[in-house]
Amino acid sequence: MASKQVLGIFKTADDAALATDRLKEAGFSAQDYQVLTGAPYPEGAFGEEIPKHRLFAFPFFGAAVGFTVAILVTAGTQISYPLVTGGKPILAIPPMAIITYEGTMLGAIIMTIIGVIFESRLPRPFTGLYDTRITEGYIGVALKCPDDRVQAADLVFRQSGAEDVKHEE
Amino acid sequence: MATSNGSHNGGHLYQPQVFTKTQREITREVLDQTRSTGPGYKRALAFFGLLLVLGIIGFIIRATNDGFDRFSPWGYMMATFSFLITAAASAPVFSVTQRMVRSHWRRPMARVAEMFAVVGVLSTLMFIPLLLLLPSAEGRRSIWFEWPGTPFWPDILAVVFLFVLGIALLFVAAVPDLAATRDLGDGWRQRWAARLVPGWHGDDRQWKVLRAGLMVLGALYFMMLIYVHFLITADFAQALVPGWKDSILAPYHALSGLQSAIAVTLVAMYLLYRFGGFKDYIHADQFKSASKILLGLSLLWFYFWFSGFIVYWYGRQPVEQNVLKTFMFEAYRWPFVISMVLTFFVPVFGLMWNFVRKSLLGPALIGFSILVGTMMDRVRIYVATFSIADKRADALEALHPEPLLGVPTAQMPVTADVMIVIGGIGGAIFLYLLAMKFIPIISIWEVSEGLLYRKTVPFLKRTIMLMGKPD
Repeated sequence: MASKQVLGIFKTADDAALATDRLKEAGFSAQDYQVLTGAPYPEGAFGEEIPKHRLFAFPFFGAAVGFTVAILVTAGTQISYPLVTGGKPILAIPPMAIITYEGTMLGAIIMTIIGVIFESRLPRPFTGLYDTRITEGYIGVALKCPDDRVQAADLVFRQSGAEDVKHEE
Repeated sequence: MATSNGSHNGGHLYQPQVFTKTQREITREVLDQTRSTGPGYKRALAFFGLLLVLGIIGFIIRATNDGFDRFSPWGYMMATFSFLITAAASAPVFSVTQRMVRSHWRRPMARVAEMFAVVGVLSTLMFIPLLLLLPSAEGRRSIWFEWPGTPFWPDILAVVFLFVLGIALLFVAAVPDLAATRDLGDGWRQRWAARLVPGWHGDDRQWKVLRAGLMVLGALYFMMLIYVHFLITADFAQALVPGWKDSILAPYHALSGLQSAIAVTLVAMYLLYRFGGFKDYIHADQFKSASKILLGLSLLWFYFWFSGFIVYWYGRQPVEQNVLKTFMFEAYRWPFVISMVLTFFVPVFGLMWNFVRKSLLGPALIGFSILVGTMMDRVRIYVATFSIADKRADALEALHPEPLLGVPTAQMPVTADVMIVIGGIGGAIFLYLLAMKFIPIISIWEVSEGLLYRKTVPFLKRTIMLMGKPD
């Protein structure tokens, strides 16, 4: 059965928290809804599912790639053109560390920027229901439910004090 | 009254800032201020734009008359570039560190500090002609071990990536506020914001990734910044002066950057308070808290400088004496003395007083003093270096066969130098003013988040601030 989105718009955080409790009582799970806010609330403040992300893996991956490339470039250059400088070994760690540090940083930076965009799921031109009042401090509870449960969800939102309820057409 | 500041208690008891505005009021007011371009703003923009044009003319005069074969004509431009890296590029680190330690007072000043990342456009453009001056690392002592393409590629990549990282940090931190512009703005700003953040709705995942992203980008920014300080001091200072081997110079340069970061943020905060229409958002809380860190950094500044100085002073080799005479006690004595007074004595003996720290004007004036002192410090380091490198251009190619045996005379600025210096600094302010009309200068979402955690409650015969810490 096709699913539709229902957005409850609440003036206070207390009403939104009450709505998420009632959604659970009505048989919806925490995976079915998301809480939309104009400012970040502490995780789990509305009893919602705490999302997981893998952002921290991105800089580590980028750093590992950058480090490897930098080591290959510095060691490869010196082995290919073995010039003794200042009586130091051909593969001298301190000067290699400078380029290796930069390579590691560049890899980490590029992958972090990619990671933030990817993990935020941005850009996302078709995002479903939204209301600009959320930007000004209202709380939105966006529920995804089967067609036949839209009315039940609407009722739960209104009984919990929603100022407005929007339905996906 | 938008914030509770203890006036109920007879005005004597200091209380941290607690906003009594709603998120709706904050959003509307900050967006209105972002839209507003009054006559004062336009005059300031035109003035600093004119300075930027003067700087460009100064640059053209220098390039036409002197070319890029000699160092000495570009000493003041190098000092200006270094000053911009020291003050403007370091400013986002102040916001990053305060966000990491979850301080609440920093909320209204977070964007003010991060916005300085836009100055990277100017400093990166200034850096390209300066790079043309550097001889190849081949055949001379440098940190590069004669690798092909050094020092050009590592230097330009580091400066460019620092700029990119700064813009990424600014953008990620501004995404929710750009979404507010998209939802509640109008005209070109609304269309611009809608294109930049089409999918931001503030769901749990987006907030979580935003916070994690700011932490990672902030940590990387800090790591990149100290690397850039290291490269600049190595390639544009010590490698050009035979016999100058100061292991503390790069940390000193970076620490000076952290000190200037707070100084420039305090000055910007005061100007926004006084002229920017943000009196309800900027409070003694920010000045008092930042001043304590600034006091500590000013003491550290002296410690770092002294650690470098004392080794040379005790060493007393001819080259060491000449390095001290050149950079501190003879040729560039006055820039050094002014720098020492404005960067150490003024902040330490000013900020040690509680009434100064609690005021708005006091820390801002001391911040201005630090910025002037830092500029003087950069003049003594880079103008002196470039005049020495110029006279010893041949020696650079021949592995510096001799140490620094004499003390050069100080190089005074000519008209083109003055134009470059005021153009560089004016251009930085111009870019900042311009950026303020694209991105809200007060972080709406961070100030709104603060509403959740702070409130004023009665306590016996006075009121106190109650603060929640969710993690």
